[in-house]
Amino acid sequence: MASPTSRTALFAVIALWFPWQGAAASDRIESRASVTVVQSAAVTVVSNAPLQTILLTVAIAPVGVVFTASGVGSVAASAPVGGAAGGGATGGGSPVSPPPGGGAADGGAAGAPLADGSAPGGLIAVGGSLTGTTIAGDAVSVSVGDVSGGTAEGSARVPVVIAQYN
Amino acid sequence: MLRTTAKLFTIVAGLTLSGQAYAQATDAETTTASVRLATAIDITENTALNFGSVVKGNTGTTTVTINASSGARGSSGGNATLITGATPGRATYTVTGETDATFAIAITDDTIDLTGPGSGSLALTLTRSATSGTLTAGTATFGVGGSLAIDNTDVDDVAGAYSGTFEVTATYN
Repeated sequence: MASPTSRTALFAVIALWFPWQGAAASDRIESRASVTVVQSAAVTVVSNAPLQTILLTVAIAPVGVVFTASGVGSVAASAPVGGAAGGGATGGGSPVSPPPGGGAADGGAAGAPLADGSAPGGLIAVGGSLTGTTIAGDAVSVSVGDVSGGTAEGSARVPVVIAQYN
Repeated sequence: MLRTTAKLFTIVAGLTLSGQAYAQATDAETTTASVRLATAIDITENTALNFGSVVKGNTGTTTVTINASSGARGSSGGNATLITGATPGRATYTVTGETDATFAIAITDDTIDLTGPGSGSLALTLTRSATSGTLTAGTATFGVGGSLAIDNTDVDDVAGAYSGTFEVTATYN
């Protein structure tokens, strides 16, 4: 038999989790996702000079958008460039835009847009590079080299230009 | 004399037992009812989800990913190129509320389209760094990344800025 003494029992706390049952149990927020799609870069040779003096002055632009970039020696204005070959002898279909054959000065061919950012095969890394340029805020490197197997000496050589996004 | 004593004992014993039975017929207990008002849960966006700049290619479909946990960007397929420019990164959030409470993380619609200047759109599948969390010291953070598909052959997806919105919810478990 239990003790006859009167007992006082204190039961466990009943915790009612109010926020669980109301709007404050949940909160939501709207966020934004974004991306910038950029067109490929192309290169146009707008002037040519012996490699040992001034490599090239080039203008680079997103396809269909006029843009002028500064380079070594001077800044050249340029028409928009595209994938079609220009008046050069050997251009067309290549990311590299060699100037007209024989070292003619201006109006070189525009190669196909350089889409993958890689240097075309067969180039040798001679000459110089133009860095710090941008296309619509995106950094672009323009480098100048020589044709495969050639050297940077003499104006008879046909230099090539490479533009790529960094 | 002996019989008289026995009768008296019987009477006393009977009274005593009946008294005990009466005392156990009722009892009282005091119970405490209480409530604790917990802190409401709150979610705040720290950074938005940004896939940065991508140079569109001309073949295949390139999938650009942002890791929901680390924010690292990567790509696969196609010939699009990731470039610098706009800083890519995952979306990050801070959740505040009741200390040590757990909560669930949900994305209302985890597949959305990013729209831009053209008529095309880019499909984005969102991912969470976790499906739930614990409000250690009353706060917790998590991230949202995703996989963005860029069809390099889709002429409707012209160059430009694309964006879309999505909704993230934190709910007490």
